[in-house]
Amino acid sequence: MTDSEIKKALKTIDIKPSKEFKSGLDTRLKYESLNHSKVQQGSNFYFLSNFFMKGKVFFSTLAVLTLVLAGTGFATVSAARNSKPGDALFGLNKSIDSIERSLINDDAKKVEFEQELFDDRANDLTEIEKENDKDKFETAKKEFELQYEKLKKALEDCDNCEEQKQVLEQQFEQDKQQFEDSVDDSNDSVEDSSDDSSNDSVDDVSDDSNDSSDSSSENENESETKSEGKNEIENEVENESNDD
Amino acid sequence: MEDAQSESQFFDDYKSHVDLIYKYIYLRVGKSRETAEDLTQDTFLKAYVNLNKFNSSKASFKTWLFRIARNSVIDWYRLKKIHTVDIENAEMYGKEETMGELTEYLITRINIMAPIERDVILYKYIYEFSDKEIALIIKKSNVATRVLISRSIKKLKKLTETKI
Repeated sequence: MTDSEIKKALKTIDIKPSKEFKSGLDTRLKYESLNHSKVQQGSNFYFLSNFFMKGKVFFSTLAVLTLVLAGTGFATVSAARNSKPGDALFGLNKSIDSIERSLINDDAKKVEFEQELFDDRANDLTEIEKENDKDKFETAKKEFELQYEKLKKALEDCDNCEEQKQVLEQQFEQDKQQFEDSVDDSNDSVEDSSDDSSNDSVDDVSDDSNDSSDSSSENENESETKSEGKNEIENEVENESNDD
Repeated sequence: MEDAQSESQFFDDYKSHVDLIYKYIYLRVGKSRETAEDLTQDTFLKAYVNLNKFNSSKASFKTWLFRIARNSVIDWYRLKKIHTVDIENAEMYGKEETMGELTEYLITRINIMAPIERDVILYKYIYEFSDKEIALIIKKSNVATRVLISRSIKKLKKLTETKI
């Protein structure tokens, strides 16, 4: 066969897939497309991957920001994570919590997360109580109540964690009781401390005045003793002269 | 290419290539409609999933699809452990589709050639790819591809010397 004969013979081959196959392929690809985007969006890091895919400008901006943050940011973030309600960096701490919260899709994990934060706020409240700072204590109390509501809501939204709900509800009651007791105690301690200090200062002043009066009386006694002694010596001299 | 843009482009373009890819696979797997359909679907799914790897500055969409299709065929042969089909098998496979007598004869001759020779013959005569495009599909240098094309054509001519 010549070159042109081969070409002609092969060109006449008319093979096509069936319409059913083409339609099935189209459906399969569309399904794959939906599934693919769902898998991507379902990921906790979808927003990050999406961000990175936006282009080189975003990537280089992020690289510069990362370098700047690496120098100063990490120390600040670390300090913020250890901050308590009423501290300057507590706002940043809460922002980080919000970001973490938004990354959790699973309801049961959300409950766990809120439970951890609830424990943190409870610990903060106990520690701040010892500091005897009334304003800070009020802020910590508000944060504790807010976190209490968030945990409660997370539990309400969670459909598949009945067992977890029961355990946590018991703990809720205990913590709530503990919280109420701590509030009562702290109010008492604040009142007691103010009463004690004012009385102490009054007592101290009166004691001082008593001390000073005592010292003057001591001086008087001293002069009396001295005069008595002088008299005794005079008497002895008189007696001696008489004897002579 | 941006993700969203390339995805919508893919759904616009792929339909015009389904017949070409199907035909190539059908001829390469011994004219089995079922296998051709499976491998054609496999080719387009692989293309869709790996869309981010497609670089239009290196190869056209058609060339890229043929490369995926060729790999699917190679994988299929590897699984089946069939590398060549003898004349008897080639004639047996030829019952499904009705082609001209000359074309049938030509296909049976092509099917006894080495897989890579079959590929370049189909690319050259049916799809009229340039030597450079064929080099991209079979992942060989331009010179090596030209030599292979020339050798394959000579071999086919020799195989078809016998009249029907």
